[in-house]
Amino acid sequence: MDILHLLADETIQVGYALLGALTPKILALIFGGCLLGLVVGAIPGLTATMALALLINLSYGMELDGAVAFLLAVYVGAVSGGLNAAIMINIPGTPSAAATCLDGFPLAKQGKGGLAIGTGIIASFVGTMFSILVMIFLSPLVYMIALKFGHWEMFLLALFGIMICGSLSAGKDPLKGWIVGFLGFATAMVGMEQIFAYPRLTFGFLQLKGGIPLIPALIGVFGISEFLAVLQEEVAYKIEGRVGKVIPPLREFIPLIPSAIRSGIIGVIIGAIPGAGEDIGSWLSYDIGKRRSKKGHLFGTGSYEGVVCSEVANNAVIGGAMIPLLTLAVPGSPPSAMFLAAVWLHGVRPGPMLNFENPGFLPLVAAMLILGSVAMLFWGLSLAKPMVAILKIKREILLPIVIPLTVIGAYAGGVRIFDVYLMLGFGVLGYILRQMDYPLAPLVLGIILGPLADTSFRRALQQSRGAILPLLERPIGIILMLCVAWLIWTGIRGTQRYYAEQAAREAAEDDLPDPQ
Amino acid sequence: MAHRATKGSGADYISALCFMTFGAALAIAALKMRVFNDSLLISPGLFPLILGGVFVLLGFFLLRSASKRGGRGQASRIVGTENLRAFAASPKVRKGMTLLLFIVLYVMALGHIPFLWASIAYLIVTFTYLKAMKLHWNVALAVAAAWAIAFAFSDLFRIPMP
Repeated sequence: MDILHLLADETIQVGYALLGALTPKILALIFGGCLLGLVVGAIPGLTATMALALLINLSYGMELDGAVAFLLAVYVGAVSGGLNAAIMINIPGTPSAAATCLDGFPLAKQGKGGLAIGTGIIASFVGTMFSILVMIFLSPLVYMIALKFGHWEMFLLALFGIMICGSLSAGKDPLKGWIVGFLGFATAMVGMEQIFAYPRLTFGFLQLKGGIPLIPALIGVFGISEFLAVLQEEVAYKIEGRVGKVIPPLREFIPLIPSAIRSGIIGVIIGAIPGAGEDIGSWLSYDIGKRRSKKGHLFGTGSYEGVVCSEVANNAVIGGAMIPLLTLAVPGSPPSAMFLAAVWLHGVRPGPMLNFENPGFLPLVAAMLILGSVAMLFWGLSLAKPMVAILKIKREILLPIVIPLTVIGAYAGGVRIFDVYLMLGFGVLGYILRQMDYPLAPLVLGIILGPLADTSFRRALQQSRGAILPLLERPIGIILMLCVAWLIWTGIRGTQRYYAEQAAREAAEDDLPDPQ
Repeated sequence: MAHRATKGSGADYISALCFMTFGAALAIAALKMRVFNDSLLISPGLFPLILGGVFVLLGFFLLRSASKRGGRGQASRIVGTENLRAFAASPKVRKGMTLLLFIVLYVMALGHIPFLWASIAYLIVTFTYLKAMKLHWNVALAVAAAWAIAFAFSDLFRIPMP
């Protein structure tokens, strides 16, 4: 009954937050932020994380509700905006729209580009709304469990977070994902630690005593490295066909409802996994949809269902990612890590105590996400043609303008030029890691979770007077340890299998007779 | 036994060595950190020490995996003079390095000249290098973009500027 009361209370609070948000200022921020997000998301090479990295600085001077409204609207807009480029030029605007290319582009070639965009936008709206509902109803339950977490469980949660993020984002070689995750932990060791305020690894730099600031590091890793990686590639593309009619007839949607529900569930689950992100949700949903659908054989040839599978899931990740972020301070995706860094700046500390310290924050997030999705639906359907026109602008013109924006973003948080140098350093690190096929999401998650892991681990040992055995008897801890052990086991086996297959494949390619 | 080299194994081999060295350095630095209350368990060096060990261990696994894929031979070829020369001559690498150099110079300049002027100079140079448009359009767009950014952030949103 307590749970039911909690859920009813949560729903009423979301309603109040929605009514409170219906002011001209908040609505302007939501519609403006969503439009900016859609534009950035539409440009190939600029991801949703980059959109937040570029626009986070605008939120510094805003009040909390305005900043939350603006950033969440940018987030929803940027994740959804990637589909325009995916459908019209076969290059995803953001990685989360990569699976949309498979069916969107064939539809554009058939002259149905506008309908594909319309279907994708509506699917994105459905995915976001579905995930918000799940977030509203699941978060109170997760809060109740999270309150039972002690220091040992928090340490294991942080460890589990980077292990699973490493496994999922590194694809076939989880070892690389884990290494990068621990590199994030190591980065977080810089500066004064939280128990004795002892400065570690500062190398005599006074500026490093406060630790590595999160926003410059995130902007460097995702902004600068992405800029370099994208611009050094020569990619020529042309817009395929006319946009045409955008809003699809309602009857087309009814057979797609089961796929949309399944994709929504997949998206929320992937979103709730630390650091997994929208692209993984989208690919997984597309893959499962292809295997489960009665018309799976049509996937890849211009199927609206394929577009729905991809677009519902990548947007459902948004609400899913907010569940661990709000309840455990563990971001579910890289853009949500950006959002976490922004709300920290506004003095809000998400985590198990959030409901006591800021009881209205979860309803505020839910309300702003709902309004952000409405704004996305409005702009996405009404501006489909101008969005496609943006794709005609050369990347060589748009992308360099990003760099001054990243500089302001890195500088404005701490008002120190040193942070801009740090951003540059992390940009170079991100670029090198990218070139060597290391994923970047675990690095960010490691930087965020590092202080939690360090402090919780040492406090847990302090509580148990240095004895390990009492720690191993805690039920939630046992579950988390089993999860970590399972990840290590499956990761090592998967890596071995992948490299064996790669070696066999390359050997077979080498043994093929030369056609000349 | 000589192993057949697979794609990326040389890079993995080199990065594994880097991570092992980093782990060892981290562990040494952790051992030099102060111990409080005569107990390492709550002292600041404990977690970095463990992390150092984890890096050495994971680096070793990666090194072993890369070696099995012929990474050692490929790594020595990667760091060979001929390959480094070809690497430096590659248009893709040159483009990436030049763009990075422009950003470094821009960031260094920001400590000495106002944001607006530094941004205009950076944008003109980058647009011109990327052959974005004709020169006069490059200059016009660079001035307009830098001014718009500076105005929007400093005057409209009251954001502190470098």
